[in-house]
Amino acid sequence: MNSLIIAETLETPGIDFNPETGILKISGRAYSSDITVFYKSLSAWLDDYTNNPKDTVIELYLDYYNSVFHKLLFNFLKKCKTVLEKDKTLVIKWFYNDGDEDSVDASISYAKSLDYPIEKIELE
Amino acid sequence: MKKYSIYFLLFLFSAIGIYAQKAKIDSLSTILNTNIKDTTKVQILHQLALASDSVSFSFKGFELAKKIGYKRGIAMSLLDIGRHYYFGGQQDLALDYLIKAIKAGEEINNKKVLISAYRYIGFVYRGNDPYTAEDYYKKSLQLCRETGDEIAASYALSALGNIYEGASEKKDRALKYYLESLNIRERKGSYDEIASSLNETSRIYDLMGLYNKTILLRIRGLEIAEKSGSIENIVSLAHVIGNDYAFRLRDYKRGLEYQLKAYELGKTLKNNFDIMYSINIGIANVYYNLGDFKKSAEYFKESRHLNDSVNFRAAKYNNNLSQIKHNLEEELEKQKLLLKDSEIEKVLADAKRQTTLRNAFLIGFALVFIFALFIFKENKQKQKAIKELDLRNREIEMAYQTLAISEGNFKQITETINDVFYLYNIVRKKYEYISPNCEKIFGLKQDYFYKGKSTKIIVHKDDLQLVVDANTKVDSGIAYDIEYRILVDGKIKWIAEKSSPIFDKYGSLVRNSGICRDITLRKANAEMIARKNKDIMDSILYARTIQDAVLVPKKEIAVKLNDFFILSKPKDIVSGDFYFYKETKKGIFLALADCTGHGVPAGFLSMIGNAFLNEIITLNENVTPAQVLDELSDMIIKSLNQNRKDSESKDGMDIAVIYFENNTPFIQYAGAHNSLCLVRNGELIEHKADLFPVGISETGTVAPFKNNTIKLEKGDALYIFSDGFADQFGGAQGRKFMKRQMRDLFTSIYAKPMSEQEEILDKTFTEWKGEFNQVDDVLIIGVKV
Repeated sequence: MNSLIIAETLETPGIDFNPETGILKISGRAYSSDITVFYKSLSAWLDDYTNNPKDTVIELYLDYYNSVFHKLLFNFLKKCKTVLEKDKTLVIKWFYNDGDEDSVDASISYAKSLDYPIEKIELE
Repeated sequence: MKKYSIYFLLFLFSAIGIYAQKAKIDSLSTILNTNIKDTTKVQILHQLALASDSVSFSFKGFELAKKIGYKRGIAMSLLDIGRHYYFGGQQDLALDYLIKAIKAGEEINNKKVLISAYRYIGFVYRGNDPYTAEDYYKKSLQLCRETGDEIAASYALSALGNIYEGASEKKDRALKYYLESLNIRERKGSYDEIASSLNETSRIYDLMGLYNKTILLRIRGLEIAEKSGSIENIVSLAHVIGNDYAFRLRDYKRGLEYQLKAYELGKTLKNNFDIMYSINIGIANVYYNLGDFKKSAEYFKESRHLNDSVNFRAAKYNNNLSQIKHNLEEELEKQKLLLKDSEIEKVLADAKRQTTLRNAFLIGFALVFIFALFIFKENKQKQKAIKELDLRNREIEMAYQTLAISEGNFKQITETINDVFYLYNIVRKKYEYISPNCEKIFGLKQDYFYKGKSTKIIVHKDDLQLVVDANTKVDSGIAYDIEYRILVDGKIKWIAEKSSPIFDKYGSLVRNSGICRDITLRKANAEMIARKNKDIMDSILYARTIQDAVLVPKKEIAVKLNDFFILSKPKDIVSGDFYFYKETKKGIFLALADCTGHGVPAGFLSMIGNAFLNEIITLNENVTPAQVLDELSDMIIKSLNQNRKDSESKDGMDIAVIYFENNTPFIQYAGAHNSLCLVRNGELIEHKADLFPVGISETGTVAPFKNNTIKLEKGDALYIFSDGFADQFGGAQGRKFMKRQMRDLFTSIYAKPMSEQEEILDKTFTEWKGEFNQVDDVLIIGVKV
């Protein structure tokens, strides 16, 4: 299967999902209030990927996201957790800028809601 | 089409034609000398007048008819004289005689003469005064109808069609007349008459762009030419049809068929240089378009040979002709002088001069023939030399040909696009080219522009200065791009015009080229969008006033809280952030909420939140902030049906609620994502909010909120705020402002009066944001104890 690569725009973050290495990267800022189509392409790729999954690492480099994307990300992570937890390893890495407590808080909130550990890594 | 009519004329004057006419004249002249009645003689002189180019037969006829008192003969002869002067280009004389013919005709009520005379007067007026011409044609037509002379009517109809053919807007009227004429002639006319009608009707179809019909008529014309056996007409029609197929319909194969037919037959004609030149060019173009470049080059080469010989011949012929013309003019001058002072009878009596005139004609024609023979011989030798030259020039020719084709393509593009393209010569102050749809867009014909006039007369008076300035600009070598209004048929049209200067190789300004586009529709749409935009904006602005109306005014808050600020900076006009203030018997509830999203949708949610908070506290004044949040969460889930499994709504809000109890140093606080910051003695204490929102959470479970009780001291400063400020990108590196910097800011300003703090926060935010877009709504509340 192919990698899913979506370039970062002014409204949506960049996507780089590699089915060979199992590294799924989301990076940038999310402002858009209408990301249904965006989510569908992520979700469709994931359905395909889970047919033949690898040990997976999700890397999140999110500078800013609005509440709409907040929900999208939660659903995505939850789906990953549900389908991968059983027979593959799943590591979620949360990268944040030096001193961005909101980001740290967000990762804690996510970990709690997901009931799954999230590794926090400070940049710089 | 003009080009082709020239060929027709050439054939008309070809040697064969002249010989045939001469034979007719000779035989008629012989009869004239026999012993016949004078009235018959007048009739024969009339026939001779029709067959020859000399006016003398008509004058003789007139003289004789007058002598014997033959009134019909007088009218006929006067008509003949008028007709001759008309063909000779002497319009004033023609008109004089035609009017005399009408008088004579009316006297004896001879409608036949009147019909022709009216038509010829129309011809005389046709050039300068088409309206008068139309009147006379119609008079002629009227008489034809009265007498039932259909053939004569067909001539009047064709003449009327000809007037409308020139008027661009009335092509279908021209078509109507031509078709009527054709209809008559197909039933009753001669081959020549039918051919002429087919020719004019096909011409109008061509002008109207109905090429299939054009071709159909020309093929009928070709059939008639074949029936009548006129090789010249067959050749030229096959050639024209070939061109039509190739360049109008892009049917190159069919085009080639006709061209080759024209080519084969054309070779058998005498004096075929012009037509063969044109046919060769046509075939070369068709082969080029079919991709057979070798054959294309062959025919093109042949056309070059012909062109050279034609040019050579034409030069000699012109020399010769101007000599003859000169002689004739001298002769005519003498005639004119006589006509001016004396009676017509006197002119007629001067038979000698008539003979001289006729002799001049005969000598002239004889000279033309001698020269033609001479040229033909010399041509053969010249052709040999040209052949060698041509081989060397072959490459250049191909380049020329490509150029001609690309020019053709260019013309086709400019003639099919909706925009008007033009090329204006600044030095000569004249349009060199303007595409024909200038008529559609400006309501002005190409000719109008070619006469050196511009669009200025139709430009809307309010935009005239703009257009004049733009023209001045381009005259000094600066391009322009303007939009202006014009008036066409009393309606306003919007035109967008772009023009750029063109410099020659020495760098001096010679031309400017430009494109004009009709943007009336775009303008109308833009206006509509602007109007709709305004409507939407108005309703959003009104929504804002409603949103503001439900908030407790700051003045009212100031009664209880003596030092505080509320800084609100919505991303859009309507805000998703809102504050809430309510007094109870025992204290004050103060809240700050941030609804999902921003703008109008978030604004809706804020109205619901405000109403629910009011309801919760009104029903139970003893409620704690944590209980307020629990209840609010419950109400939002229920009212937005978020507890349903299929619910799409994940909307909710982050909120901080503080309860100030009267006459105690204690406050209570609860938060959903929104923390409380307290600065005391230069130190900041953060009371962290719960990490879940009001409304349905991701996990779908609902946890109770935590209630905090905090003891205040004098001089404490409290801050609650939405995340819009900390999340704002900006500064030198375009990074987020972040909570830490916010806390540092609070710590550094907390001692200042709250109104001053508001100003500092506002200024800091605006400076940090700089050129970046605002990310989200911003709301901060500060309270000093």
